[in-house]
Formats: sequence, C-alpha cells, structure tokens
Amino acid sequence: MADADEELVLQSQNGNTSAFETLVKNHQQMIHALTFRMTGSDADAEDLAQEAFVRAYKQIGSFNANSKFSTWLYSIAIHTCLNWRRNEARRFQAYANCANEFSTQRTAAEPTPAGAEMAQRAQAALLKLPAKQRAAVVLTIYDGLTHAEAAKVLRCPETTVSWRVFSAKKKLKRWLAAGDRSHERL
Amino acid sequence: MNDFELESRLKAVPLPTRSDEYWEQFPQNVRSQLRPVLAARPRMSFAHRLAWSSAAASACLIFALALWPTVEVMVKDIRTVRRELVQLPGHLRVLMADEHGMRYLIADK
Repeated sequence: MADADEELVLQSQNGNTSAFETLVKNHQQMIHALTFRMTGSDADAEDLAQEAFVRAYKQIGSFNANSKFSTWLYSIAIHTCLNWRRNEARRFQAYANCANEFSTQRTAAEPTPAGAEMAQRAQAALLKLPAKQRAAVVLTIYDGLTHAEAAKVLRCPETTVSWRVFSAKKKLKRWLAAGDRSHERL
Repeated sequence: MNDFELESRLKAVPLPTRSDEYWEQFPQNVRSQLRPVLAARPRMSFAHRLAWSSAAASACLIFALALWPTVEVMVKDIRTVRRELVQLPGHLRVLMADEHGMRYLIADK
C-alpha cells in the first residue's frame, strides 16, 4: 500500500476525519470515473461517489493493511453501484436518460458531432450490459485491473470475471457494429 | 471489430468535466456526512467502563501481590550487602546467593 495512504488510513481508523478527507481528495476522481461509467448519469455518479466514501469510513476499521487501499475502495464503490442497480427499472431509465445526459455535457475537447454520436452509442451499449458484466468491463478496460485484481474487487473467482468480460465484449461488439450499420444507412 | 477497436471506442467516451470548486468542495461534503456516523458510534457506558477499570486494577493488584515475596527478598539482600560492605569493605571479594542464602568470600588483600 502506498506509504501516504497507509498513514492516512491509520489516522482515519483512530477517528481522524481530516486524514480521511485527504484520502477522499486523493481518490475522488478515480471513484467519480468509476461511478459515472457504472451509471451513465452525472448526478447519480456524484451521489454514489459520496455514498461510497461514507461507507468506506464506516468500514475503515475492518480494512486489512495487506491489500491496497485503492483496491478496497474500488470494491466498496462497485458494490455501492451494484446495489443501486438492483432495481431493473432504474437501469432502463438510466439507459433512456443517457442520450439526454450526453447531449448536455460539455467537455474540454468538444468532440465533433460524429465523435459525440459514437461515444454516446458506446456509453449506451455499456449501460445495456447487466450490472456485473459492466462492472467487470469498467474495472478491466477502463481502470486497467487484471482479472485477478478485478476478482478481488468483485469478490468472485477470477474465472467468473474472465467469463463476464468475454461475454460483455461479445455483446458490446455486436451492439456497436449494429449501431454503426444503422448509422451508416442514415 | 477486434478487442483493440472495442477498447478504443469505449475509452473514447469522455468523462463529465467538473470545476475545481467541485473537487475542493467534495471532500468537505463527505466529511460533513461523517459527523452523523461519528455521533452514532456507541460510547462505552459507565458500567462497562467501571467493569474494565476494576478488572485492570485487580490484575495489577494480583500481579503486585504475587511479586511481593520476591521483591522483599531482594530488598533484604540489598540491605545485607550494604551492611557487610560497611564492615568489611576492603576484604570483600565475592558475593554469592544460593538456596542457603547470601555468602561471601573474604580474602586478604
């Protein structure tokens, strides 16, 4: 575990909220990115990021220094998102809202309409995946975790992660290819 | 579409941009939510604290009582040594302690 995190975690375990605030500062962007990719919604991503950190504080006494703090935090954030996603109605609503969210976002790069369209379809396809497959994709593709590391975060066997990633990629390729074909026809 | 192309498409999805104020404020927002968490942590009741204090005090007392005979013998030996040293300071060569008590070897200087 990074030395800086180690000391901050120890202080947080002793009730030092300032130390925990520093931990939040160090990891907030990573967790926001994860919650956004899991939900597709900016507002939900912010709420879930906050909830993930509060849960982490409540459980900080149980943190085992043998693992990395970031891995442990990832696990809490992912499970916070998965619990949120359990309501299937929310999943389809978020998928439907994705188009609205994306069209109002302003990014520094200001992508071309064609680029924005492709990105929107990619995000929509990601949101169509079942939550656990999406989590496996987010951890391995976006965050660069190995299947073994992702398995620790998701608390499942490595083979399960491998299968979820394989299955998810197959679906994404199919959906994106179909989307590209229908877009070309237009 | 191969894996590389898929990953490139997925990674091209931009993240929402947020202001510097947001990133400054977010940790404070989290911290403000921790206060109810801290308040909710159960504090030890008076009876609980009294029980722990009594147990610790009893353990110290028992430890002290168990060690007292040994300490008493040590103090007695130290007094004996000092008394003998005063009487035979120059001739005292070796001090021995065994199951029969303190012994000393006196030699001509």
